[in-house]
Amino acid sequence: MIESCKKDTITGTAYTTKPFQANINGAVWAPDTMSNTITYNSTNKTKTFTLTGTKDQKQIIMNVILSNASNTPGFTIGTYNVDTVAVSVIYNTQVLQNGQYVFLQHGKVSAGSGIIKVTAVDSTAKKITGTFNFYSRSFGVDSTGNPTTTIDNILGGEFTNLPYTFTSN
Amino acid sequence: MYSNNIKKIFTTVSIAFFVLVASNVYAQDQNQQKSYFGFFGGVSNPMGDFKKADYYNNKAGFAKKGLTYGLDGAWYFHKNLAIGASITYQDNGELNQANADSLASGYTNSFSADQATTVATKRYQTVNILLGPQYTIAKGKFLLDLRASAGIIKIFSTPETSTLLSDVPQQTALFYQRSANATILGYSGTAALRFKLSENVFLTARAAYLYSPGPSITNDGRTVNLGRLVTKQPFNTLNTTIGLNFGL
Repeated sequence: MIESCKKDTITGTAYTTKPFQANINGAVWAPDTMSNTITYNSTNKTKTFTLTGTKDQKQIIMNVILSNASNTPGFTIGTYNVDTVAVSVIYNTQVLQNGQYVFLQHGKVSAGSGIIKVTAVDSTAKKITGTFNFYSRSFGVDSTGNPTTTIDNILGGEFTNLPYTFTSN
Repeated sequence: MYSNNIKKIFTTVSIAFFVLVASNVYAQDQNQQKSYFGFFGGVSNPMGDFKKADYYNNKAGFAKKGLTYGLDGAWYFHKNLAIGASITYQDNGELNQANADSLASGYTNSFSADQATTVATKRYQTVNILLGPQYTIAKGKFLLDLRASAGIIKIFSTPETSTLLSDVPQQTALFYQRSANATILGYSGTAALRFKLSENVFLTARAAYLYSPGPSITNDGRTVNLGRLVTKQPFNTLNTTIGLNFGL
């Protein structure tokens, strides 16, 4: 096709294809530091999936605990709603405290305010795939003494074929 | 603004060219081919790297098929030997949506960015003024003109891009690949088949290959030289046209 002599402005946008990413308050966030483990506790017969990602003063820690689990390297596919006990999510931000930068919890991800879906598990290759989204609510007081509520939205989260380590103890 | 500049160049150079041809036409003798002038129009086809849309190839031009038209003529000074000249406008398009997406994706990967937005503006617009020796082979009503020429390419614009990355501390500022506006050297090989419609009128099919090392490209705003970085954009096109020529 022959192009006509027009003058257009074309905008192209691309997002990271990193295997672990989410959208935090409207901006894409793909952690450069990750930890992904499944741990079997033979005493309690529980299996815990823990996924942690850190980048740019932001950190997400997700935990899903299966009870009556078997001592195998897989994990049950399913939808896990945040209940703060068996399924919990923590959203941390880095702050300067006593001269040191530390990650502190930024608000609270309450029961019913998030979901983690495990959609595929390759227990042989030890790779896990899924999605997540949640919001963290923090309470404060503004300069006039009025109470304030801040919501941090973590949406469109995904982990794709993310390698994990399995530990049994 | 571009079209006004193009018109000025066309007008000035075409007048000079035809005055030259007209003033020498009387020097022809009976054994020589007739000098001629004419006009043509058709398609400019980008070739090679100029055509490629590959983020990872710094010579890839993302050029498109576009309109070309111009004036052409030849003055025969000895039998089948002539000096030919042409003035050609050609447009080789702009980046399309897929190209802009491809660049944004490439920069996202190169900089390990979480997101990249690339905005593309402007297009390839040039006028070529070329001159060179021509040899003509005549057979019946057909004449085959073979010409090698060189000259200048006036570049009015090339595509410009600006890119903004997300979460790349080393490159927080918007960075640009600027549009070029330059006059550079160009080289061409042309084959034209003229069909004699009447004693002084020819229908002409023409293929003109054009090569140029291209303009230098300025890059602004970079604080780190990662990813695609174009510093020179070679030009490479095959213009296929038809036209009418008039014997003098």
